Amino acid sequence: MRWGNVSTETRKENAHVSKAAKRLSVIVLLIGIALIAVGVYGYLMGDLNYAPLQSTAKKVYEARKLARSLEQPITGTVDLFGEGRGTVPTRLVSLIMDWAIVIFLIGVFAVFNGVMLRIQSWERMKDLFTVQPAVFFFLLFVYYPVIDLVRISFTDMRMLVADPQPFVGFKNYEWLFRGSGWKLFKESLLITMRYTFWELVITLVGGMLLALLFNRMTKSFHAMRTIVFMPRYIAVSTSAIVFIWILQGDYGILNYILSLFGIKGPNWLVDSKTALTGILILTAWRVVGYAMMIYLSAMQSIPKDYYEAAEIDGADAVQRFRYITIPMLAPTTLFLFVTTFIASMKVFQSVDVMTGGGPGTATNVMVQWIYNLSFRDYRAGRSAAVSVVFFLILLVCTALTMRWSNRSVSYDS
Amino acid sequence: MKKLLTWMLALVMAVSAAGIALANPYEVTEPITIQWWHAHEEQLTPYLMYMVDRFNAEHPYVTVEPVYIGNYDTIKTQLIAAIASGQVPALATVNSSEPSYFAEAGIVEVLDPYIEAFNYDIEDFGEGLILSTSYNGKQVAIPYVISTQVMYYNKTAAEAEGIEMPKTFADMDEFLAKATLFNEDGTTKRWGTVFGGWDYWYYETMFLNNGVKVINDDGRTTDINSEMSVYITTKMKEWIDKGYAYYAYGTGASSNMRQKFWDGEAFSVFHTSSLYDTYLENVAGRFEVGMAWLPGSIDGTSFKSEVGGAIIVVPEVASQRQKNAAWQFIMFMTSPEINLYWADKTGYFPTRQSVQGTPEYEEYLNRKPAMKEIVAMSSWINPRNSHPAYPQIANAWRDALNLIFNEDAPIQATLDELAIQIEEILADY
Repeated sequence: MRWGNVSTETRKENAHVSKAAKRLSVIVLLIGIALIAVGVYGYLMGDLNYAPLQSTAKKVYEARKLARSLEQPITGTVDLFGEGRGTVPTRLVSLIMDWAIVIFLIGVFAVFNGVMLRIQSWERMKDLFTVQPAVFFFLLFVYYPVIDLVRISFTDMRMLVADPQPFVGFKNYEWLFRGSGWKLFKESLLITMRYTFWELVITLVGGMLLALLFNRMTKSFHAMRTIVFMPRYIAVSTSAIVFIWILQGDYGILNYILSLFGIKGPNWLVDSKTALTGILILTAWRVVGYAMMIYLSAMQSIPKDYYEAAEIDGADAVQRFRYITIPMLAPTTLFLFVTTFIASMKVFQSVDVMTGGGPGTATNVMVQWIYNLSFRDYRAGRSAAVSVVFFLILLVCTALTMRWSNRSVSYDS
Repeated sequence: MKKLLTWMLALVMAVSAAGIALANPYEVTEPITIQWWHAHEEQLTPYLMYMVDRFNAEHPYVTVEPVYIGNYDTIKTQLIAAIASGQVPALATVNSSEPSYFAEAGIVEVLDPYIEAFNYDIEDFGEGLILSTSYNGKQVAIPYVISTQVMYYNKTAAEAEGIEMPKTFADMDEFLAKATLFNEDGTTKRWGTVFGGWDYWYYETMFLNNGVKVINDDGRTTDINSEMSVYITTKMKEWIDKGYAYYAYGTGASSNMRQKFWDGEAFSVFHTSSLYDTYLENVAGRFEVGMAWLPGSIDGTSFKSEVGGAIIVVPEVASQRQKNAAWQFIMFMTSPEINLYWADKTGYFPTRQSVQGTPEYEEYLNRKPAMKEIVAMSSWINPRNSHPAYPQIANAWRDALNLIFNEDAPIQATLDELAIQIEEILADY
């Protein structure tokens, strides 16, 4: 049976659903609806700071403060609906506020299972149960943060100021598109694109050239391949510290080597004209070995017959590379292009350690800017607005890339 | 009878215990281990551990675990994250520019009740330091280690070459012309001075002493593009372009600047007094290290400097037991004896006035004669600007000056643009 096609087959399967399962489904369904209601209530009270629930929330915050101070559990009760109509332990309300999203998700899964219990056989239910934990964690740790990011982008969250955060409507987006944020946004996006372009060039061209060079299965080449590949597995922050020393203007090794040839090297990471290049030097050192290995494995899977046939037909080395190697590597190039593109648009660690986005705004890539807005300027609301827009840009870029690649790249060897 | 006596004794003890508890709710009454987050680098570990070990030995109920977090920026970020999670250290040492930031957000404990309960002599810190650690009249932090901006210089070369340190901004031209040495090819052999361009703190006083206000009294506008500000910036640019002064900026700027001085490539540097011992240690007797007050206003009437160093805060979300234990440690680490110990082992000032005039203090000054001149000027030390937007504005200022000094951006236009940016930031507060 296909999920979208419920009609005839489902009715047949329904015949196999026991009465016990149907009774259970009602219970699960009711529990699910109740949990959704409780979860929404907690979310409205905690995260959304919904006005009618603010007085209850305030009592919970006070009880929490007292409990924390005394290192004891939260005590007391709150009257949810006034006049003693809904007296519940404060601790329970606090838990509901803290775990609102988890309660809500459990409720959604319960409702889903309640429905499925009525229409699916027990055998199929076992399959469904197996897959649900992964989906649950995916929703909780991937989609919920994205949704919450959107919520924060409509608040004036300032990191230092205690909860709850006031809602400010589209103010952060106005700052971004109509205020002083626009210039910084354009600038940051341009720097990010420039960085991405060069990382793509280094990865695709550098990786392919190195792969051609190392495409020999001798022991010494094997050792060299390992050396070139290794930087990928050294922590970025550690490498960045070493490269700060290497690129230092007055005492750095690179400028010392350049001086041996009579060249006065710049102060790489301090001059805004060379700071991004300085970061790209580290990037090249890190990524080119990985690209080489991916290309190398792809190159070695190209049938030798193609080259032999081309050689017999009189094709020289350049022609063989142009008309056999490059087309045969197209899927690999696409893979590297897409993964590198997405990763390099999100570059952060190396920039943060090496320049912090400076000098001025010379290396202020998008993620660095988002970080600085949150943790340097304490404007998390604005930071979230930039994150949401950047997320959408990445989404569109990735979708376009995939669409283009499906048309242009042949996987048929 | 015996039973009755036992009961009476127990009753008396219970009443006494209750009395003590009622008398002072901030006493530590049971064993507790607390964390202290700090930013002291490795070279200070032996002194830090001396203090912690002594405290732990003398206070059986409290065990302090010092945790090195990183620099003050890292501590700030980590502390905010910790406060959000509720898992906080009992106390943290943060940059002296931070108290208003934390206090405005209400995330640090108001310490007045503790001061009162223990009759803690806060007045002994003097008005300036009390102001630096309070917010809206409430004591939200305690001064811990205090430093100020100074110029370190090569005293041996100064004496040999007859170079006098500049007393005012107007003296800078003559000073730099004398202190700078050039190679035959015209490149700089020895910089007259190095400006610490990575942190506004190191160049700010040159502007403030000459009446430039980064945030005007109305809290909405700035003086940063005023005639005087442009003049000072132009002079600094002129010295940098002539090869007299080096502008240390960006990654590794602080280490780079220090290295230049230690290697004799810079005659003087603008830095913090707290690193006096580090300078002495690294110069290793190759020349004598002098310390001078930063140049005052052009007319020689203002010699203001600003408080640096660290203050102690207690997170508001910590439990009362943690807070009580933290307070015990605060009292110990800010006691006159430990205060002088820290000053002696580092380049920080003794923060307590009662320390001054004691034989130990006189002996300390005799051992560190360079400190004498700085201590003599200490009445000019002022609290830092406590506007919550100041760090953000200072970053923008730093970036603008970098564009001017290192990348030849036009001075007036860049400062005009900066003024717009600053006023936009201020409009948000």
